[in-house]
Amino acid sequence: MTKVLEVFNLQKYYGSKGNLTKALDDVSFSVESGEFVGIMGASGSGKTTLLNCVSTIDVVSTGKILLDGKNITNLRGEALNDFRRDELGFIFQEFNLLDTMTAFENIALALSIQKVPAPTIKEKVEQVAAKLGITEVLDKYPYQMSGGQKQRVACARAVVTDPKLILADEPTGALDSKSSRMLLESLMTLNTGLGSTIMMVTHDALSASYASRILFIKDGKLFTELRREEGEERKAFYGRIVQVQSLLGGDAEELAE
Amino acid sequence: MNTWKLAFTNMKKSVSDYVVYFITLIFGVAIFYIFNAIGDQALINDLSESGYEIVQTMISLLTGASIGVALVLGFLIIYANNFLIRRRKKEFGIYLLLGMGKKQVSRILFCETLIAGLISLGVGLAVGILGSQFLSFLVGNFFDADLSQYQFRFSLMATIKTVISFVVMNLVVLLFHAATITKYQLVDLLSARKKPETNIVSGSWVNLILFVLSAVALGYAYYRVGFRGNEIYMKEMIRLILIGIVANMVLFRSLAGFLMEAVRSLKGFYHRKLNAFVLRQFCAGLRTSSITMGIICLMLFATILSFVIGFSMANQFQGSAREKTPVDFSIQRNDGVKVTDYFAQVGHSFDEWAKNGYVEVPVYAHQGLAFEQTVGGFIAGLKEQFPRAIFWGYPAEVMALSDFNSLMRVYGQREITLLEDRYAVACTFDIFRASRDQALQSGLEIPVGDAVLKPEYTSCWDEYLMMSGISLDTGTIIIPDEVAAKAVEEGILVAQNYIAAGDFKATSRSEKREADDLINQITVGGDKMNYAMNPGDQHMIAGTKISIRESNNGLAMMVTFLVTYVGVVFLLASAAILSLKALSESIDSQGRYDILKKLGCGGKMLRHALYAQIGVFFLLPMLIAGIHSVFGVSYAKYSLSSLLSIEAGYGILVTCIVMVVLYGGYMFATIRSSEKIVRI
Repeated sequence: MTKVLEVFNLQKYYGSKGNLTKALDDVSFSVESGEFVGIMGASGSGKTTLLNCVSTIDVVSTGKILLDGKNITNLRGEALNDFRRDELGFIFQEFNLLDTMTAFENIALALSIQKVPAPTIKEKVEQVAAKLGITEVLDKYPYQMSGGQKQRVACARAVVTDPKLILADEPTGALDSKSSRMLLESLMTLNTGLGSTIMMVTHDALSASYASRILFIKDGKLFTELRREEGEERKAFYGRIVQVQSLLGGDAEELAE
Repeated sequence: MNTWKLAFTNMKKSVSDYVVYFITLIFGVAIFYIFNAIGDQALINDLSESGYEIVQTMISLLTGASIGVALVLGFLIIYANNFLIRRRKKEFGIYLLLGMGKKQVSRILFCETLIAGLISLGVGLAVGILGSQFLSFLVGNFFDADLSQYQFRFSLMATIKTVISFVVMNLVVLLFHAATITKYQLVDLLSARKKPETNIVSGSWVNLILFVLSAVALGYAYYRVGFRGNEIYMKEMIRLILIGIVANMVLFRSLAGFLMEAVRSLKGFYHRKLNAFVLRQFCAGLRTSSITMGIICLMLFATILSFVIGFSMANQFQGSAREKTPVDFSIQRNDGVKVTDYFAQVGHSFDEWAKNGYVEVPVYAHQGLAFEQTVGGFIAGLKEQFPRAIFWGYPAEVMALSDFNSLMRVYGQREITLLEDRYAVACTFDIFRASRDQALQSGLEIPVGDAVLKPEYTSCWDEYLMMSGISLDTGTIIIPDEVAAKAVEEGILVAQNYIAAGDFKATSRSEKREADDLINQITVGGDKMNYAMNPGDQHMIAGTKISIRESNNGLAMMVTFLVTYVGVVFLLASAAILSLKALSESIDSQGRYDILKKLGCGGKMLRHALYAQIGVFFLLPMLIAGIHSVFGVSYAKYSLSSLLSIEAGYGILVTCIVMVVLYGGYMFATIRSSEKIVRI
């Protein structure tokens, strides 16, 4: 297996001298091609900062991030935009669909920005829509769709460009449980069916249980790592996640203080 | 924190929102003051009698126009304030949530409106007072007034007028506000986002049909006005204007849907870069404000039309006055009495005031030939164009060659040479010249007694016999001296008119003016402007250098001012409304641009999208107004052609410059602030 993403000694500080907050403190890990990695942690643990650094939305303080062996921490300007456009796919909590455009156009936009010719666009959008089961909503506008449909459209937009890595930030945060399940199943389809590499940030154990590996972050540091065993039931995996979560939430020592 | 302080901080915070509004308001106030203050400017009191009369006429016209201007500015204020309130619904919601009463919120708004009103009124008046000094220099220039006597003047009347108009406008706005705030529910204020449906434009066949229908209707009106202008009378014109207005509004109503459908079918274009996004954005904006856009398009049309025609007319008035007054005086008498004899009779013989070298020549009435016969078969077209003219049966006017040439020598115009059996025609009135040229080309023969004369030239001699502001000579036949002498002997030609022309003895400006006044006193009873209404002894007309220049310059100034006043206000209001609308669109699309950024859209691509969106938003109504104007101007030229033939080139040039500077300025400023709003 090739390593898609490698993170070495990543640090991210906020604030100035004397009042320094370490949002990320010496984080190192790697993601292999075709993996579905979950990143968990309480609010303020630094998981979103990590995602922002990997997605180049935020600038790292020290450390290195390699995507496909290429260091992305020193990209600037148009090169940075090009990188984000060509190598990454995003799924956001608030869907971030353009309300003025149909589902088809929203998905197509990701390709238009890459200057893909129109006939190819149509073909690709229809392909990915069929895989995610949203063919019948392609002509609808976001306000005519359910939350789950919107999120799957957002998924489609993220994968239609064949990115090396898909980054999902609390993708189920704004969905009811049924829609959440459908979305997560879509993500599974992307992962297993299309072989997409996914990195998902979440604080929800159920969502995380769909991943194949979970990194736990606490106070900006990598706390522990859980790997779903070969043939392990999702239910059992969920149980293990909840256990770690309760550890994360606070140990007995902290309670004693 | 008291209400005033809150109002002040609010305004400081939203300065960028207010900028366009403020600038427009300041300009509006300034222009309003300037044009209302014209009458009180010192230089105007120093003008000559005819200049003074023109200015008086102009002032009453400007006062009338002020009502229209005030209405337009009032509409702008209400529109802009609505926009500003909509922007701040959430802020007001929070005030209410914090326990402020609606009354108190209304009071904050009241204070803000008052502050904005007072500042713009104050600054506007200051700009206006300075501007009006500049303008009075211009007025003086138009009339060659003495600028050394110039004094700084402040017009109390104009100030009062301006203040009252703006106080009334702002009061109306305040009432509006009070109503707006009390109408809203708290929940509406807090979630002040638009319903998503309103952002979407879907093409439908209804829009397609409406678009085609309105385009066809406009095409029909264009065709009638542009190519069949001569068939249009008043009633028909009103009908066509109504068709045009309705078609224009329907066009804008259906344009968004039509564009959406049309461009979407061009897949290659639609899915290139951010085109789809831009089109969606633009069409949504167009859809939600199609009525405003339609009205703005009509306002721009009115502006372009009046600018082009007005500036061209003014330019021609001024230019022709310089060109057509080579000597100090030209006087014509039409009862067979010599001009010199008449002047001697009334005790002011030419020797007293005219410099040696003046000429006096007779113009004969041909007893055997009517005016219409000198145009031959081509008279039909003229009769159609001038259905109320009565001179078709009058005797044709004829001059002997040497008389004509001596008059030409005085004026410094071209002389004619004729073979013994030939004739020529002197004519300066464009429409008549066209028909007469055709007659000459057809070889129309003119009988004078026994002689039958053939045309010497195939076109008219474009030189005037009398100096005059506009070229309205309908045509005089020039024949060889021998033929003329014989015909006079035989009584076929009768000396009916006499024309005298030359320079004054006087050399100084004031003496020349005295001589000029004398001539006008004797010929037309002193009323130079209105000799049709006050015709003196009814047998003379005079064209003198001073009065022609003054009245032409005066007309030029009147037209220029009127057109500038109304046109600039229309233009400012249109541009300001478009700008506010575009800015509010930008604010609404902030989130959309953020999404695009997250998707990895480069700054360059985003900027281009924003430029395209705002650029098209500004340029589309201008483009359609421009198309309207092509036909409007051609019709206006046609309908004015019986008075003067308009060379639109100058007007088009000036119009383009004004448009680029003012309209382009607003567009540029809007793009700049939008870039800031969406944080590209």
